[in-house]
Amino acid sequence: MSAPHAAPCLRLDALGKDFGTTRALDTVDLDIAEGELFCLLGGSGCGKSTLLRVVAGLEAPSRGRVLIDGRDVSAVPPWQRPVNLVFQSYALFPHLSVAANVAFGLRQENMPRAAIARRVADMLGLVRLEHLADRRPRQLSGGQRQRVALARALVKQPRLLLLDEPLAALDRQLRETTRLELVRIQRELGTTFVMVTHDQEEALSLATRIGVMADGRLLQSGAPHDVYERPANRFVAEFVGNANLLEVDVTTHDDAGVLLGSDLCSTPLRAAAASATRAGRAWLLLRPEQVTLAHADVPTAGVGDNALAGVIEDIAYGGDRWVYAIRLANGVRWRVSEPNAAHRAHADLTRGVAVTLRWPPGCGVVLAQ
Amino acid sequence: MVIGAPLAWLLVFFLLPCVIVARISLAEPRIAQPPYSPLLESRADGGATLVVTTASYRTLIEDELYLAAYFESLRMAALATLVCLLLGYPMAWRMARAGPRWRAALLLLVMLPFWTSFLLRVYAWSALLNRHGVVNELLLALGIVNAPLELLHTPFAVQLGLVYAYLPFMILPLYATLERLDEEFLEAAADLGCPPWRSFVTVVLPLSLPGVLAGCALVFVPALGEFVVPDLLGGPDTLMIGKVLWDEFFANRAWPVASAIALIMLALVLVLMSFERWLRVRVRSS
Repeated sequence: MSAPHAAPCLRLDALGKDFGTTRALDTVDLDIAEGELFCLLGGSGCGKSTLLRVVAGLEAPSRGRVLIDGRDVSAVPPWQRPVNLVFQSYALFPHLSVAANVAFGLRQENMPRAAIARRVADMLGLVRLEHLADRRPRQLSGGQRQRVALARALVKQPRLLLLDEPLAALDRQLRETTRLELVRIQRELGTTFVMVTHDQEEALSLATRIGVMADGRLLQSGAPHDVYERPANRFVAEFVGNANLLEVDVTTHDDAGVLLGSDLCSTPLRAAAASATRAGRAWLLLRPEQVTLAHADVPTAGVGDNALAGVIEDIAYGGDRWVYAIRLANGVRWRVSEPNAAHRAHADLTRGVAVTLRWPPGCGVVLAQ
Repeated sequence: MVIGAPLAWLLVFFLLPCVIVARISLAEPRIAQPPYSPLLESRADGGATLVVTTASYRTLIEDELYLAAYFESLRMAALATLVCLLLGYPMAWRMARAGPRWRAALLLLVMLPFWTSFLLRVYAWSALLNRHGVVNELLLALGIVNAPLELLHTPFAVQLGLVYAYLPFMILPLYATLERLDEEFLEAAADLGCPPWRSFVTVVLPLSLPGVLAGCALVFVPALGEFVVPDLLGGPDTLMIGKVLWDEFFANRAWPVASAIALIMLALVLVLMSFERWLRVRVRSS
């Protein structure tokens, strides 16, 4: 970790990028500290890849600045930036062997041959490809190519490694192992990684911090659990994880929390004070695992719990858990998940059964509308 | 059948003419119709003698004119190929990197000369280059020269004609390879520390080598045997083998020598083509 006075490894200062009349990036501010594994998460066309390309220097920003270690590099060409990019297509040079691909960047620095050979060998060892040094890229599998691309960028010892959807081209099983590989390599080298992905599960599982983007804007950034548990708005809530939403009126709030009125129940619902918003219409957000189910005719279990009525519409087996689709009285579908152990006690909960949904007052998050 | 038809075509229109030319090259010249000896000559006793002679080939070796013409053709074709490559590469590169609309327009411009007869276009050059041609008039009017330059019927005019005639054959295969070159390779090279000129040397050039080889073969081989350009633009001192062959055949009616020239020429091209092929395989595998 950098000393407190030091500048962040990467700082984006009101960064913007237009392509003609399309606004690809709209005033993005972001600090990334040294050693972070930062994941930029967003749907296709949200500007996340553009952001990466602007940081790499492959696109010039239309507005704002890119600072690396406090130095403004906005006007520095890509070949002089202490930054390297792993392309989504890997872009390995087809006319060069694996070793020559990895050595390519060092050759441009006029490093002595012996030193290059040593660094390349070390790097191929790190990504476990020593035995394929003489192969051509086309003779490699997708996963091997991905690791060559990673080695080729890392061997330059960049201050910042950018990865554009590094796992997107791999099949599911390979993606899981490669994800762990990435984390291992990042920890071993301590290099700051900035990675772009559209896969929220990927982002949540490997990042030290994530940033959620939409329409060229950075909506929220923070630790994965912060973003998941305290999303800044409805978009983030729905993009990261599954969201159950209920339209509510914020009536009062006191030290104990906020009181929420809903058409679906006569007694007000309670939520934590920390999540309070101004009075008015709002969304109450609950995650599928925060809600528990019980038969509608079983009397209230936990006193003080919030309760809503619904009907089981569907049940799906998810391996380690069961997932229920519940239809509320206003027609909205909620998703409730229960671990296997809890489900065994609920064998009588089948399709069409009327249920009561409960959650403790500390759980819900109130989002402004 | 599927293999048979093209095979028959090749036999009738390629191999058979070659065999006929080879047979004529081994005959003796005669002042007769046709102007060469028959393969079997009937004798007074009713039998027949096989008439085969390598005299034509000996002439090619003994008379320095032919060797000089072969050598000069190789030199001219090689120079034309080099100039076409140096001119064509940047043009093909610009075309490949232009937007789709521009690309189509530029491609059309490269193809446009093919819409008129080759012969006419070479004649046009002779009109441009002669003593009172456009080029000389322009140079005089601008005061760059005091007297008209001797441009036509010089080796320079032949070289100019060759480059003009074959430049599109260099540009098109180069364009085809460069157009397919993924922009990401250039970005990757830049990201790894290459300024643009260096990415050109380390990435673009090696990846376009197949196009370079194809373009060079397409220019070099026809330029080697070119007849129209040296005939119309060259002078008495331009010695290209295609011109020599024409003279032997039509002016001297020396069919056997002309046939021998043609066969040696064919052998030369075959050797060069197999060298090109060998290079291409090496480029692809390395």
